[in-house]
Amino acid sequence: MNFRSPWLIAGAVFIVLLIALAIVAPSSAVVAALAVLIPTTLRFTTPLLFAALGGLFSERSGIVNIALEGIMLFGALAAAVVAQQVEAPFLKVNPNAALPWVPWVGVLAAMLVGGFVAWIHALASIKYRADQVISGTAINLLATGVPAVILQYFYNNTSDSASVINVLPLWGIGSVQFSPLVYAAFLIVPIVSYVLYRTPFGLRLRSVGEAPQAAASVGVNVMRMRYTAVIISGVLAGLAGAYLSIGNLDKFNRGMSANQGFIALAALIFGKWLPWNTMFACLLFGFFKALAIRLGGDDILPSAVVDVLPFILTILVLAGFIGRSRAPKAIGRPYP
Amino acid sequence: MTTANTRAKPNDRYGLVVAGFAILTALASFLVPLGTLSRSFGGEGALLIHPGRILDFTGRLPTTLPDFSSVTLVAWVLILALLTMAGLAFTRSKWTLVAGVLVIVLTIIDLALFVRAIDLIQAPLLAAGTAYRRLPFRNLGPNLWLFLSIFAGIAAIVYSLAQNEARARAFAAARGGLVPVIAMLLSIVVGGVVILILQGVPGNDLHPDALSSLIGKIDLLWFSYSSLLGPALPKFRPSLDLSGIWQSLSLATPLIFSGLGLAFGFRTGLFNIGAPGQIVFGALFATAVGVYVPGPWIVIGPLAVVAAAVGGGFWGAIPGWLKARFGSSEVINTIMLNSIAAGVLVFLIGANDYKFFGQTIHFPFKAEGGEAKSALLGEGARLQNMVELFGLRTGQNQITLMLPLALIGLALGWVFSRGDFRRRGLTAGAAGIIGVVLGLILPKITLNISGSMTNSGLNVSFLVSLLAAVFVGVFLWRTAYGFDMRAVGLAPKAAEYGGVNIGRNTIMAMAISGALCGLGATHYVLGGALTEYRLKQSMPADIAGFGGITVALLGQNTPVGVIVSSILFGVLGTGGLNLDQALDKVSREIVTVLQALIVLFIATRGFLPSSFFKPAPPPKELEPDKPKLEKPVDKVNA
Repeated sequence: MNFRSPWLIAGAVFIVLLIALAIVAPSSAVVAALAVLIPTTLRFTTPLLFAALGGLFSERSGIVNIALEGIMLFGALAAAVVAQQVEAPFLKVNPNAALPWVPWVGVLAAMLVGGFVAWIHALASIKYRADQVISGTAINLLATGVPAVILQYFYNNTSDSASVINVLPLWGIGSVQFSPLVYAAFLIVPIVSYVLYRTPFGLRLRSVGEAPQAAASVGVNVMRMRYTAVIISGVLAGLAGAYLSIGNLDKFNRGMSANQGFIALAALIFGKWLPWNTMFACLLFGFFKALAIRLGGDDILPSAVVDVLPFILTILVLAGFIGRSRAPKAIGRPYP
Repeated sequence: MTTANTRAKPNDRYGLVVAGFAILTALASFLVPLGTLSRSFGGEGALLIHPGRILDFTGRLPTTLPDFSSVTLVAWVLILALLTMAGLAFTRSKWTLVAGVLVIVLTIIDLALFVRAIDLIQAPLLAAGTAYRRLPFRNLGPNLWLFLSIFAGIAAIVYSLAQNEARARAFAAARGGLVPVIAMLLSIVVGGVVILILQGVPGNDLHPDALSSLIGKIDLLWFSYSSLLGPALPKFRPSLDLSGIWQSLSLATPLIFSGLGLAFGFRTGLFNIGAPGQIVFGALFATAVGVYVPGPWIVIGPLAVVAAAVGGGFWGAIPGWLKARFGSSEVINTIMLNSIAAGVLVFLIGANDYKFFGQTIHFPFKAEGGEAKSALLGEGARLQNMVELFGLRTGQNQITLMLPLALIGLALGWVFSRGDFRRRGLTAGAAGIIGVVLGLILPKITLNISGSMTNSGLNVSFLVSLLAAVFVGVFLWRTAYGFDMRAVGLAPKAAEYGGVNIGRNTIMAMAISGALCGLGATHYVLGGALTEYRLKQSMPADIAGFGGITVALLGQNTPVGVIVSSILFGVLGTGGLNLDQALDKVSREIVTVLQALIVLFIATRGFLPSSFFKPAPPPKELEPDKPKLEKPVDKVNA
């Protein structure tokens, strides 16, 4: 048994934190706290998981996708603005109209925009052989400017959009209610795992990330695989953004991605570029964020301290575990 | 190799491009405005289009219009000259150079005639005692066509110069420098398309026909970019006013620091996205010294500046150490450290009392008041405002031209002298002294110091940033340490084999890069650019820090390049405010978009084909072997 596995470490940290919580708070409070913590964890995990799985596709094909952060923001912007603009004429006619399809149009827009922005990154780093980190940074910089320009055009301010009335619904039984995207995020983990390890597409994808020359020699179109992978990663990161703006909230604001794209990358590295491990890593980050907010709410720690805990965790995780995780061999290198 | 007997063949494509551009410019004269007679606040313009046509979007032109017949006449001659120049460039004639110079001279004459035509109307009114603010055609200016024709002339001159073999080779050697230029042009094009999509032509209702709308769109582009660049230009009427350039330099100062830090990182193979965090830590350290260490300015001033560097260096060394020790990427770590630094800043100056596990602990760092800010700095730690430094007061000042002339002399002397360091230094010094003497001889001029110039926040830290640029240049290119670091950046394996300790170098390089970024805090905190001499949460560390990426890449990671491109973005930042006010649908954040596009286009090397960057093949008879497939360079400007 591999004791270095992030699964076990994640589980151990989880248990230690629970015990710590049990010591700090009386036992009945622990149950109440967990009832809040677990759903919150799932909610915080969702965008991370979408983005990290997106990063998984891109990085397994050999393209570093540091642009996840920016693509998430673009997705969030697209979802909120499109949903708001689509529903507005209907609401003008009838302010109380129920338009359950509106948020799904927003989600679709987020996926399309995410895919498009990722295509720009792909074009730069595959066809024009740009340094992938710099090209990704350019996308992230774009994501700080473009939303302001678009918000100015539609809403005459540069910080946030108007509220979307028809946001994503909540699905569930009883008091367990989640956005459909939460279920989707966890459901695509087995799908990703299956696609990656049980289909010819997945084999080719992994092969172009490990040994593009060898893959090309057996007839795999390396360029096309990489384009596909990066665009898929953009679509998934766009979904993460859609969840942030019209799943978790009802509007877009400029700081809403809050470095989650980078945390997702860290989770991907922590999860050793494997789907299930990445999910557990995302869960760990999500749990930690939920716990941090819970601690802040109880005057246990100041919120300024609590807010930075996930970032400190990211650094620790990268420092402590990256040595043993092996990146795809051809990552970051242009082909041919 | 000697290739003196083989005359370098100028590439026909370039001749075609030059000729085509000239012909297009000539044809465009009927569509692209030549001059702006007047400009309303919302961006509506009254335009002069070539055959003496006036298109008024303002709807407020006076009835007596200037007589532009001479302008039209010269414009016809200019069009002829452009077409002739195109023919000459196409046939690769030696006379292309002359034609190019002629085009530029004619353009300048045309502009002068345009200004004079309006002056003929203004002068009598001014003599009759009309206030300057009430003059008609006060916002006159050139428009795009004159600039197109100047560009056509410059292109022809460059093309003609490149016909000479030696110069052609010099141009070819410098073609890497074309990438930032092309990247900028491309981003201007994309930004222009964005502006046209977002913003309708101001005042279009007055002339809704298709042709006028097209001209209006062209003018909208011109207006947008000229208002981005224009405010930084000095104003000569009613009296000399430099507030635009001071504002620009003030915005440029932190960019110079972070750009130097980023450039230092790129040169040493590190991508330091952590500038915002390093600025914050530089600010925290500098504030700590400034507020809590008493003493005379001669001690505390430099100490506070050093503290800023130490703070930034400390925050930069952490990801360096993490990379050296654990191999974790500095990219993600620096980003995380940015957020942590922002949290630390909020924690320290956001509130005084915090509850830890129910217990309240008091922290003394936040000053009284609603805003998150530190206490005021002591007198000793404050860096002077540049207006005060020169001993100027708000209002009209009589100044000599001694200082600018001395600086121009220094620069010219350095650039145009050859030889070793000492000889060039002596030449530059002599030229500087000539500048001083000239300044003493020439009459004084009147300089208007407006409130916005004093409040621009330009302070001594600008001079510190120039010193930092000198440090980077000397350290990287003139010392053994710098050589080692650049070696690690270019080829880490080879450097290690050559005996360089990679780990130690990585930590040192990140620390220096962080220190340079951290010095950016001197502008905000010690220089009082946040309107007061104290640290505030509103310090725009993100803008300054991330802007450094663009600035470093645009400046090709050289100190001079960083300074020039920082000032350019300072100018754009200043102009962005004006654009924001004039056009309701366009936000000044368009500048951020332009920055990002520039990074993207530099990363893709301006979409130029990779063959463009390959060295020219040797002449046929000297060709040694079949050229080997080259391994592509995959670091940008490294």
